[in-house]
Amino acid sequence: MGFDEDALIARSRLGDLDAFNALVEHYQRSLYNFCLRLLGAPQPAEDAAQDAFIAAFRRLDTFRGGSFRAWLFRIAANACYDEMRRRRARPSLSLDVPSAYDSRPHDRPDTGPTLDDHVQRQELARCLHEALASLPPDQRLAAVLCDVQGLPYEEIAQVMGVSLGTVKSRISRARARLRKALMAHRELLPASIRPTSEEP
Amino acid sequence: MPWLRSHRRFRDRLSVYIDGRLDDRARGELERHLDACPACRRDLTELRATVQALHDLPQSDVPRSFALTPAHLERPARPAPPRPAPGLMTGLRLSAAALTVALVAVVFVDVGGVAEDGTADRAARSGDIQQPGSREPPSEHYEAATPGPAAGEVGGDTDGNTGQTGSPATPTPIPDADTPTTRDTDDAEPSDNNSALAPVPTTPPGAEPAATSEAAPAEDGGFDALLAAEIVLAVALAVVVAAAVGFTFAGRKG
Repeated sequence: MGFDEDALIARSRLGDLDAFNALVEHYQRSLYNFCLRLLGAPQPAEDAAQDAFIAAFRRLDTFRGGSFRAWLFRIAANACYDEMRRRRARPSLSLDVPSAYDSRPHDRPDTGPTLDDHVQRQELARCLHEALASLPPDQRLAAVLCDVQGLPYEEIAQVMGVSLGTVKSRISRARARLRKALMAHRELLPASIRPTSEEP
Repeated sequence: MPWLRSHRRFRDRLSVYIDGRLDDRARGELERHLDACPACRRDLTELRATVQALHDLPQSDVPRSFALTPAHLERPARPAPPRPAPGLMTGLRLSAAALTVALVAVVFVDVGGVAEDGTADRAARSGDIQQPGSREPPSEHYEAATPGPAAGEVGGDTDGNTGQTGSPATPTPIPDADTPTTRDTDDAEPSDNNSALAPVPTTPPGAEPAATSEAAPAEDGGFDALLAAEIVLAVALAVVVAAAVGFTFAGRKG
């Protein structure tokens, strides 16, 4: 039997924790990575993702249809903002932990790129992480939802609670800044997508 | 420059173009511009590479399952983080709003006074005591009022009046500083019994000349203070607005 989201939501609304956990199982990877890109470090992302799922279960009655994923990501975005504020209030829990982009065995296949390629990819990830971290929160959220998570504009508008026009402009501004940051380290890009610098 | 404007417009559409969300007409226009504009072609290539790099970021595995247990639901939600303190921009906005209100109030009252009181107000302000018409210059008010028979009796009333005349530097007394002058002028002529409005009792009857010479500068000084208050408010408002604009642009750049 396939993944019947509507049925699982309906059962979850009645308090069926197993049904809700099927939804958790389905979304946890993308939700955790979403939090990881917004927060930049594994531990806060883990805390925010768990908080988001708990909050989602408690607030299922507020889900009025539409994209469940967008509704869930909206809750997760708020959990991330809470986490940011919490950590800002307690400097000992700094967000400046770059370990999210350190070497992790599951990030690469065993028979994959050479060591140099791996180091380069890691450097590229670190560069993108820093560029994302430098964006204002609303632009970072737009960029992560669009270009990392691959959500369409309409769902991004639902997550952010803004109009389509605002979504487009935030994505455009975020990409412009990310591009500027990335092109300063264009040598990190794989040759297949690296723009040549001959053109003016 | 029209070309530069259209170039910027096209450049701003590149992001939406990459996502295939431009309508046919806008896409056609942009593609024609791209044919003619190497800078936009370079921007497009770099934007595509950026989007691709973000898309290719490796996804991490979850560190553990986030499946809920009854324990999760029994546990109270984590305490909400502290609300962010009002930022500098909020403070600047509030200051600008307060200053604007104060400035508008001062100007409104002042201009309103001129409209109502006409030339006398300007005369009093400029010190031109020879202004024609039935209006009397302030110094004459004081002279006329000083020998009034009720001078000693109205001390209680005039105390307040004197206080108002003597301290017009704060916005609140400004209307009061103007109003008594007008009423003085109008009322003093038909009857000296209304001299209760004149700030006589501050000077003893024996010191009439001194009272006259002091009272007039006090009135002028009051208007100067009013002007000074307006200037200070205007300068403060300009500084706050400039700071807000500066921070806004700095925020966009940074």
